[in-house]
Amino acid sequence: MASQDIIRRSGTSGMTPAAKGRNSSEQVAKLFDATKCNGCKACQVSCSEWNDLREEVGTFQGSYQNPMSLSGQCWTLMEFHEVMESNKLRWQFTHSACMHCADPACLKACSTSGAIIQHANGVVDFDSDKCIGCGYCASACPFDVPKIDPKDNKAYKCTMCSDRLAVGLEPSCVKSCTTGALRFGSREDMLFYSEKRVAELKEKGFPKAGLYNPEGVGGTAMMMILHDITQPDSYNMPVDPQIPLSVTLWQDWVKPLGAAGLIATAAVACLHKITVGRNIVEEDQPGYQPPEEEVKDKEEDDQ
Amino acid sequence: MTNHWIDIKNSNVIIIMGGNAAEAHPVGFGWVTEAMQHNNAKLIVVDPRFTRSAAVADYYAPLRSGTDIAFLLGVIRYLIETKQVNYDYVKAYTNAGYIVREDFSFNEGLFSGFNEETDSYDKESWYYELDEEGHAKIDPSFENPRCVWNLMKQHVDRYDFETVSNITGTPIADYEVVCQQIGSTHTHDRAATFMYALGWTHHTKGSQNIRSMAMVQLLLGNIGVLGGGVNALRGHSNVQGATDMGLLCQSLPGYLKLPSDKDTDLKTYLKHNTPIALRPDQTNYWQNYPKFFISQMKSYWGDNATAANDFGYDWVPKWDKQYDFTKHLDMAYHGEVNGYIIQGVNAINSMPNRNKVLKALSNLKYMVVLDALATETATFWQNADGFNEVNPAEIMTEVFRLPTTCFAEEEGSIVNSGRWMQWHWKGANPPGEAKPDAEILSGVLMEMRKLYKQEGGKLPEPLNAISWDYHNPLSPHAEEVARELNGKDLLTNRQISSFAELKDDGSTASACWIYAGSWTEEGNLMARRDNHDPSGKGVTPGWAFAWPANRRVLYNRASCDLNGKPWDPKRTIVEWVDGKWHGIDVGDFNMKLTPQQSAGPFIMQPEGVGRFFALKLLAEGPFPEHYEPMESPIGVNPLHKVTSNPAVRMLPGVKETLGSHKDFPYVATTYCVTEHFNFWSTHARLAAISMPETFVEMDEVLAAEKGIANGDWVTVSSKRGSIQTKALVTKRLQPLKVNGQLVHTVGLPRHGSHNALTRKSYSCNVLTTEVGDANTQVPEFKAFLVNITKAEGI
Amino acid sequence: MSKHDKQEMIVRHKLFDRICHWFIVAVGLVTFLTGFSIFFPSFQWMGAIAGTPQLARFIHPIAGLMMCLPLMLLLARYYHHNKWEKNDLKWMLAIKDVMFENEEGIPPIGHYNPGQKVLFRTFVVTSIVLTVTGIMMWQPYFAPYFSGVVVGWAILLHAICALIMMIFVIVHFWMATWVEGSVAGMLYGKVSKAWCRKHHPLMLDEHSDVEKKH
Ligand SMILES: Nc1nc2c(c(=O)[nH]1)N[C@H]1C(S)=C(S)[C@@H](COP(=O)(O)OP(=O)(O)OC[C@H]3O[C@@H](n4cnc5c(=O)[nH]c(N)nc54)[C@H](O)[C@@H]3O)O[C@H]1N2
Ligand SMILES: Nc1nc2c(c(=O)[nH]1)N[C@H]1C(S)=C(S)[C@@H](COP(=O)(O)OP(=O)(O)OC[C@H]3O[C@@H](n4cnc5c(=O)[nH]c(N)nc54)[C@H](O)[C@@H]3O)O[C@H]1N2
Ligand code: HEM
Ligand code: HEM
Ligand code: SF4
Ligand code: SF4
Ligand code: SF4
Ligand code: SF4
Ligand SMILES: [Mo]
Repeated sequence: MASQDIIRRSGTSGMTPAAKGRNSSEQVAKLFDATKCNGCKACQVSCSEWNDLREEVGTFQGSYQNPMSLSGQCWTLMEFHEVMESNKLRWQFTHSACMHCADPACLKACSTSGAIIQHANGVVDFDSDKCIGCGYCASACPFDVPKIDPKDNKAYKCTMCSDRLAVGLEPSCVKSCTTGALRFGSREDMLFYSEKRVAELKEKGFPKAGLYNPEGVGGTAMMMILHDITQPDSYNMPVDPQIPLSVTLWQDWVKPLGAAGLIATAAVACLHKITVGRNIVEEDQPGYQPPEEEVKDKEEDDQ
Repeated sequence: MTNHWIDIKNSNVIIIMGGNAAEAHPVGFGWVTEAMQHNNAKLIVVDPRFTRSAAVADYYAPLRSGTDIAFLLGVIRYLIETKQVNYDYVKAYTNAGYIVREDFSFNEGLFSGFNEETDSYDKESWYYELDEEGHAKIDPSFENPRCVWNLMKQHVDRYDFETVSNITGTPIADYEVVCQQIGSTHTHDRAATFMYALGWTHHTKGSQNIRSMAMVQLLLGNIGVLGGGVNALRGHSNVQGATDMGLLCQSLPGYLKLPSDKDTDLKTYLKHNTPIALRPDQTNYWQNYPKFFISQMKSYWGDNATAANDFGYDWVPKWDKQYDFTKHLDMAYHGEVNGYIIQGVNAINSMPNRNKVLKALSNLKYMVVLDALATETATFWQNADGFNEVNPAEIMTEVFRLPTTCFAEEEGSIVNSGRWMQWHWKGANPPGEAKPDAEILSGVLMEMRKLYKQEGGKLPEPLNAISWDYHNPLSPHAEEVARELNGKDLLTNRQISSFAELKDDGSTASACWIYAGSWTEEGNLMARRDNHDPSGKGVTPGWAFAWPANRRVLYNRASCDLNGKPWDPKRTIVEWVDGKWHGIDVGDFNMKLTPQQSAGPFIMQPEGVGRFFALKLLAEGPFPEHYEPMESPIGVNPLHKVTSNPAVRMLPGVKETLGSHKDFPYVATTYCVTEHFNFWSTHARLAAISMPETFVEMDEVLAAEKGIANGDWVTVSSKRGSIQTKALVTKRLQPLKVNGQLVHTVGLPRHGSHNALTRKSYSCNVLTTEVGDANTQVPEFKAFLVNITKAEGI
Repeated sequence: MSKHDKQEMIVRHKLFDRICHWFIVAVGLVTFLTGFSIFFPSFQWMGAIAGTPQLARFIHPIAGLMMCLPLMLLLARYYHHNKWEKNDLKWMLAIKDVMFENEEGIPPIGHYNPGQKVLFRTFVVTSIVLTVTGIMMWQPYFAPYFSGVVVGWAILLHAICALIMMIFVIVHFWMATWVEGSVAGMLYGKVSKAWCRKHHPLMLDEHSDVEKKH
């Protein structure tokens, strides 16, 4: 039943499509309102709690942020950035986790059948059982999200708590958000709400407020309301995330061309073999009798 | 809190000052973002540090730690000057028009009655002029120069913007914005709330910090209304319950007073504590004191309490001096204490001046620790290189550790800041040999009774008189205790439903009168979970039980005018319609009275009104006044010659432990961060992961001056000790210009532990001083002096 | 019996080089198959020589290193044979004759013909690039030290070089099996003078030079 709402699988071509049988599934979205977040890390901790993750106890690294980056044991992380804006300090907290791209670079990059799947509701999930830990997803993701856990050499990231969604619960991080900065619902509802909220913020003195839902990856199922949409980098978010060119070249061009090249070479070789035949040194064949002059020449040579 | 957490959503202006709600009360803080989003509220944060609360605020103003009184008296001056005062309210419901005694005065930093020799106040003059009937005299026109209004105006007159900015370091532009925002709530249709906690209490004038704010709220007419009030954000889980239950060393449950040596018998004691109305026809609720106290005695001693033996009054301990923990540790330090039972506190980490506490504990003969964890206190005798340098062979204290359960392993109620008593159920069985505290203490009591019986001993009477009427005397059940706290009618054996039923003749019992109504014949009202909010104002009468009497907003009579008409119809709590009171909340007055009869909303005061002039209640004077912290970075009081709080208690030998700004130039303040809860959460792995180590925060200017880079090891030292920790260099702290010099503030989170899952860290309390608030003795954890140098790592 | 019955053999590959070569072939097989299984999801079964896809993934970089390092060793040892010579261009222009065995049209060449030299150079370049990029993309050990973007390009380059190498290995295999006697030479070290005369005539001169020196 779970597999029937998978609309995309990694390492699977259009010739063997994923199940598209169900079309009732509603697109969902998680919304992070950066203008409301107080950096309490409840989301971070509850993610670990629900998903049974325990990163190592680290050390102080010069800020309130801990751990320093996402990892196999940390699927969402509150980032702390001190941003100066016209002499005013903005202490910016970013809830960083998988964005659940509509057009996920990780899925495109993953060459292992079904290790990354996209559900009909828009959630991008990893099937760790299949994952081979090559890390292609990690390097392809424009948001630097998936991480390989050295312990088992598999890629991990936020699953949007798909186990909770399956039974009608909201993600764990959303549930525990203290300020209402995190919300969850149908994509449509979240877009509707965002529109209202952005208008509200504009009225409240944030003329550049906006929704971060980057086009370059087809939009995301984790969207962000920012005070200043013109500067996503001040939230440590990429300005224009895209599926990297290297991934497109490699998956869409190099692979088919390479395959063709290999087949062509092998074919030519076979053809050559059949047509031209063997290339034998006749002299060395058993029972070979050299023509007279040749023998003479040879003896002269030897002298 | 006079109001409650949800009520914050009704505020128009929220001032977080003297606290850091986003970090210390992150869940309650959700109501702040709610108000901002749905009530268009403005959030203001005033804090020496740019905190996580400041990060979401509309306006942030820095101030030098320990200067809030100057800040707030300046606000009062501004409000009066610009006439942003709710005059209707001030006239009707405050003591602004009350006339103060002729001999009261304030001069050069001192109030009348100061005795230079004994360094103490005679408070006689801090009082109203009384008429022949013993009622306070009033001038409703505020013209009398001796009325509170004029005295107050005169008192705050010195706090103009420049003076305030010069003391606090707050830039005038920022200050003005804060004043304007606060002032905007003087109208009837707007309310402000202040969210505060330790940033105000951890000072040698902590109580006066809070009073200053209460005065602002009275001026604006913000007390007793939705979205307003005086809202202390309580700390520890259930510290509100603990306070209700007589946490302080001179309290009994229900805010009754522990008798002193001077209260030689019940009659004297009751006379001392039962006020007489200061105005005609006032409710003066404390006039019922004898009913509450005698019911408490009946609950303590049961049938052993009779009219003939003063209801067991003689068995109640009497105090000769204030045995707060600072005093007590000082006694242990001087070898005057045999043993301690340490229950649910990690004293060596959390109490000031760790080196002294270590010595004090080492002087004990025995120490019993009731705790769920192996705290640094329980292991104080073990050497931990660098962090606890002791020689176990030299410490003779015998330590017993009795493992307790934690809240999730037992049933009971927790009272939150909003006075809600919320019942909770057991979630898991305790591990190993852990037992609930009640069971351990009952065991001790039973064993003591047995030993007394076998071997005899001093003063056996109270021990034997205690009523211990539980199903299993070795393990009282939370339900039994809860019923007992509520109280019952001894004649009918029915649970009482309100403290109004209590009597002073011994026919009723109630261990904590304010809890009456929480467990009635209807059952356990604390266990209710009906979150219906018919008014949409966050008043949910069916959710748990709010003491007193399930009332959600205290002093709510003040939300209406003298005739019972709400000041703001959109914020109606109670109103007088068609000859009757109606409302969404339980009225904080006798709802059978007419509006005119019930027009003294502050029913706990004998004059029924809010006080700008505090009479004799506080140690340092009836009006707040700016004094420097005990350790002042500028060494002088820019206002007058009295540098620090003259009413502070200075134990012998402590003065010498205070440092001067010449040796220790930087202001240090200590606080909590969201990731940890005091010290115990350092034992919780997820908390340890999210904040693995402590640090010291400092501004970039200071760091550059000292050649310190972000992440460097530094030594922070005070007159009392020094610690090593890592530097967090941040834009969130800024040097402030104070009295012509630059003052740097450094910040130390208070969660350093060396016996937990986090990295081994020093407790910041190696550095702090035990000198505390003149009223409560709460130490000045928030403003003391340190020096900083770069150091090698550990 | 004429002298021709007793073939005169000369050494073409020393023992060390032969061991290297066949080691490379053996390990290469593993590398190619496992690499291929990662490359094309539909060919995951090719990685089955390792058991599971995870193991194939685990083994591939190790096999790759085990293959590329001796390969580079071999390349270093054969470097001197693979210098560009003046006849080589002519040979290249006569490639059609080479492929269709029109012996008269083939200019004489030395130890290696230019085709082999091109192959050789390709192996040099691809093996170095494969090693460098392979290490850069190696999770979880090395990849975390590089940015995602850099690793992305490394993956692309690795794939391109792997393809080129594989194509050239096919060509190499095809040539080696076509020109009979060369596999034996690589197996046992020696080739007949006649074989030399036919395929690498100038090599005989080199050979006698060497012998004279001795
Ligand atoms: N996460 C977490 N939550 C907690 C706790 C915890 O340890 N961790 N502890 C609980 C307990 S026991 C308590 S009592 C409460 C405490 O709750 P709070 O009082 O809110 O917490 P603190 O962090 O001690 O101090 C608050 C702020 O006061 C500021 N401050 C310092 N000096 C001054 C000053 O002079 N004036 C002003 N205006 N501000 C000043 C500090 O910079 C700090 O930001 O929190 C409770 N909640
Ligand atoms: N410098 C500085 N010092 C401070 C402060 C500051 O701001 N700055 N803040 C002060 C304040 S406000 C406070 S409240 C104190 C806090 O100081 P503490 O109260 O000492 O701190 P906690 O770590 O909360 O300690 C509570 C202990 O109770 C135990 N416990 C938990 N549940 C139970 C139970 O059911 N029964 C028993 N018996 N034990 C239990 C826990 O394991 C823990 O060890 O620190 C104070 N010290
Ligand atoms: C030093 C040598 C090599 C190293 C360290 C190396 C390492 C890697 C790594 C790390 C990967 C990613 C998957 C994985 O981790 O297994 C990979 C993929 C691959 N390797 Fe190698 N490799 C080496 C040599 C080779 C060689 C010699 C070939 C074949 C000619 C090859 C062909 C491939 C192929 C085809 C892939 C899949 C690439 C893709 O899907 O685009 N590798 N290699
Ligand atoms: C798959 C089976 C293979 C066979 C049957 C084979 C066969 C041979 C033979 C017969 C030679 C000698 C050519 C001569 O003497 O002119 C040779 C040389 C060589 N082979 Fe292979 N080979 C195989 C695979 C490989 C692979 C996988 C590589 C490395 C990628 C490789 C690298 C070389 C090199 C570098 C030389 C020396 C040629 C030169 O210097 O130009 N071989 N091989
Ligand atoms: S954010 Fe990265 S990991 Fe998440 S779906 Fe997009 S590309 Fe994949
Ligand atoms: S690491 Fe796993 S999920 Fe990521 S690309 Fe490789 S196989 Fe796919
Ligand atoms: S949605 Fe679930 S998995 Fe993703 S960050 Fe939130 S809690 Fe973690
Ligand atoms: S729980 Fe909510 S408020 Fe707290 S850090 Fe996460 S997103 Fe921000
Ligand atoms: Mo506290």
